[in-house]
Amino acid sequence: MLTTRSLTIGYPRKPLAANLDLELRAGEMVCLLGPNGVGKSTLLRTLVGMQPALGGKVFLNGQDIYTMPAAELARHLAVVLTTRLEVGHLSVYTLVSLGRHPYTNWFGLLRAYDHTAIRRALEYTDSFSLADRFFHELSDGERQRVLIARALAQEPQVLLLDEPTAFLDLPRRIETLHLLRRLARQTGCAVLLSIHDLDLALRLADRLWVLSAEGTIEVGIPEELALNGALERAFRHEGVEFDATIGTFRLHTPTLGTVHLTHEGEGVAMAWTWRALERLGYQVYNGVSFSLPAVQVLPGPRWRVLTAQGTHEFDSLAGVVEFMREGRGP
Amino acid sequence: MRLWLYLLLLILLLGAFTAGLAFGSVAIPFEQVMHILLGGTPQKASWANILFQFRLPKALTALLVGAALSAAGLQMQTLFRNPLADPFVLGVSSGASVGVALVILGSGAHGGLTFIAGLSLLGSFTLAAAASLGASLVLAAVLLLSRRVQNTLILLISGLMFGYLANAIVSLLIYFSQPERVQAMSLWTAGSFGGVTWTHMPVFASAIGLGLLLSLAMVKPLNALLLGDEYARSLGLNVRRARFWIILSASLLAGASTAFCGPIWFVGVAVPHVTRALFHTADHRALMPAVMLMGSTFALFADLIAQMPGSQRVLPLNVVMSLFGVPVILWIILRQRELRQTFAS
Repeated sequence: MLTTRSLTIGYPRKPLAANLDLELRAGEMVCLLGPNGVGKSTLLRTLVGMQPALGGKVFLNGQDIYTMPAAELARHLAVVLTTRLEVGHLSVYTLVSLGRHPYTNWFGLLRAYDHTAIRRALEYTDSFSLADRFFHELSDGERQRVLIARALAQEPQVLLLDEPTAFLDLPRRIETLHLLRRLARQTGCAVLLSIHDLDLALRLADRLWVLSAEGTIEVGIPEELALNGALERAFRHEGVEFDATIGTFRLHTPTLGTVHLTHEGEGVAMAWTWRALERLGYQVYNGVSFSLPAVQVLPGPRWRVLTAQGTHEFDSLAGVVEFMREGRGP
Repeated sequence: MRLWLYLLLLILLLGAFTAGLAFGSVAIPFEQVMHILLGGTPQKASWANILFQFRLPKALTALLVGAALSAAGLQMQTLFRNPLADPFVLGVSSGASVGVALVILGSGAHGGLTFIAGLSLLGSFTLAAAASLGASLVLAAVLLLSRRVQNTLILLISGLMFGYLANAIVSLLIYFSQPERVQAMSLWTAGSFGGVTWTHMPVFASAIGLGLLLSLAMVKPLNALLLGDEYARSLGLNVRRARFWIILSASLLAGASTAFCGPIWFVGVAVPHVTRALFHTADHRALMPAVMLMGSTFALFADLIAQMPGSQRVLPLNVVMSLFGVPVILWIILRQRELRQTFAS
């Protein structure tokens, strides 16, 4: 659908990435990842022709988008930008109907088919019930759905979104990504979005584009990029480490030493105890060992902490944390 | 519901227009007014004269200028995403006022002009021509600029600068001229719908008519611009070209109005806000015609009050608009609970 040939992006004095050969396929959701400032937005803006490329070309179905008439391009390619939109008194239905701009006459008259397209866009994004509300009354999550509906009303083959999850809480973020993936599947349109949420991208994207600070891009399915170390390399400069075994960033660097953790009770209590100890700054090992300190999760749940000074029992995890924080462990 | 509002506005407009014909400094019985308008012979010959030579062109002018300034104001507010923008932000009226100041204050530096002669200049073709020339020069400069610059904000700032420059020139001219001429200049600044005679009307009406048609043709680009320049571009709109036509239409409207009636403030800012509040929408397909109806009605009523029916005195139009308009419009706008949201910014 959308392909690039030796595309160079950035600003005349500061090229960000060079010689990109990329391809967006129909029905796929691609997440664009990368540390801040490497040019994710620039790449997106270049792909839609909002910003001139420094070199190379972008093709839509084999046609160069820079020479394509703007109205023609708008019928195939739609965007959702990250700028906060203040549109005044505009109902959701009217706002979505603006997506019909490339199809309507000089007055913006909506014909029967336009209304069908608007309704379909609203239905795809579960925002049909919002149609009569004013856009400014909506919550952030609802706004994002409506903006996606507006883009869909253009009936695009390619949908590009710049950080569509930026202002949302975790459930809304997951909801938005699910929605976009469903859209890609059902409408067969190619979806590309930039996102900061590595975890979500790894779980939900069909394919990842990982842009690195060096201006190179790695393309592949999420699992592959985790395996071959591409993710680790791309984010190394951020000052955090990507842990390929758990597929997320390692947040805590162990400072307090090691602790051994065993459990006889529920696995959930074990998992959260693990996290609590990690948060305190311990390197946690699983299993029985004779080295101290050691923490045992007992049925109940209750906790027993074994140290060189003796054994302590706790009814709550908070108690364990309080005790271990004092550095009694090592 | 929107249809009812349109109907209501139309009825109000007709009422205001009729009232504009029926009332004036000379009392003419209403049935005589109707009789004369329908082609009957008047009881007094002067009545027909007053009606056709004075009141009718004046009412028509008020109608056209009200619609013109409101439509221009709406376009500027949307283009600049600024609720305070008015038809004159681009400096067109400043250009016109320089032209007028040069004619009134600058001609015949030896002071052969008396106060009365200065007054007779008002509404003269020379004045309108000078104002049009001034307005056109600024308009040309702004249009040239609009084709070159990417950022709309730069246009706004340069318009402001044109305004300051023009003000400085006018102040300078005022500083060096006689009191009578300054008085004549201040009369022009007060604004009046009475200056357009039938000889001016064809030029005036066609300029305004063209501007109004252009602004109606711009409703779709204006709607796209509600989303901001970038979204508008992504919808396939050629933003620079749209901006050119919007500025051309707004400046034509503002320039023609100012050239023939003086700078009339207030309508251009207030009417779009009131209309948005009443119609509960930012959709220009609904707003543009509504704003024109509302603007015409407002201008006709303002002129009616300025006439002070039954008295020989005439109040300056700008004074009336502000004195009577501000409370009404504040009341309408403040009733809106979500004041901020009524405007796209």
